[in-house]
Amino acid sequence: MIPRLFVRRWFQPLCQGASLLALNGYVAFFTTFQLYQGPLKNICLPVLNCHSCPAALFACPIGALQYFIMTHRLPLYVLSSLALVGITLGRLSCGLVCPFGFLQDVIFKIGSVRIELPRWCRHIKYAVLFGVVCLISYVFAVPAFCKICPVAVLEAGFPLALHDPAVSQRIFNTSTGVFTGWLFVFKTVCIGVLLVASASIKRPFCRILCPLGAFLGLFNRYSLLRLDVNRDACTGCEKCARICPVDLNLMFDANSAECVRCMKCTACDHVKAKHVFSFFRRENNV
Amino acid sequence: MKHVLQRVLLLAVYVLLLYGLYVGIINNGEHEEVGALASLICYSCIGV
Repeated sequence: MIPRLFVRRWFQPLCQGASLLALNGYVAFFTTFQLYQGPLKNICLPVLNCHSCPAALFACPIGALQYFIMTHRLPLYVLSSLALVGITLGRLSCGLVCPFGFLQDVIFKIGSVRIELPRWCRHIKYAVLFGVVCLISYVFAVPAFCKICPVAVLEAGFPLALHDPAVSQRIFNTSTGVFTGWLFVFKTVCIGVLLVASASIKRPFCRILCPLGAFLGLFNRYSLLRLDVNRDACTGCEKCARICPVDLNLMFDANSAECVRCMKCTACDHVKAKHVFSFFRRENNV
Repeated sequence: MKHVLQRVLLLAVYVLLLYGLYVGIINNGEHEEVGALASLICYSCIGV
């Protein structure tokens, strides 16, 4: 049995806020103008946190994955470490650790208009994972997802453009008057649209575009940590569906690849988070 | 029987992934490459 701590209202924001600071805790950049280059950068944590962010302490797993794909090598370290997290916890890092998920959650609380996302949208992220991150990067040897990643422009683009004269000169060369930052503008528009959409749609980036969520979601159904729904006892109150940050109906979608394992739904007495070995006990099986 | 098979499969996946991690780190030194990559500014990420 997983502790009931997960259902406390403060638990998820506390985890997300703490991880935001822990992942981006390199404050020395603002005096040295150098990215962190210590041993922590060798580690790929299973969250979409751009390693070009001036304050980032860890490597971005998608950026690292693309690097190996671009150089036509099997990314054993990145794939194995991500899959180990996936097979143990599923998408728990999306729900409790990812800083961009946190930002979307916060913006959604501010918004008043609510829009439900069509179900087919959830398939786009697999096209992003296999098409953009794998195929285009492999064929054209470019970090294709980085070029469209809206998280990167927010975490790395804006801070570096403001603080690093070399970067701002690459966007707009003041000596020649040539503007070359069209991709920067495109990404800025993308992040703007995404953040505005976050006010009405629950976690649009995680559900539509995130390749890391798509990868980790593949393990949700088989991971050590799973959700156990007692369908016989369910009264159909839909409390779990209302509280779910990705609009899942647990009667049909428990342990689906969409679940970000925030564990809020375990507030319902009929939904329990269990590790897989507890499922092996006959009395607990549904 | 099904449950035993599930446990064995899960264990096999863990062993496989740990072996992949071992080869990636010890044999290939991929973690150092990742570190070196992540220490540089990615201009694609910024959008220039």
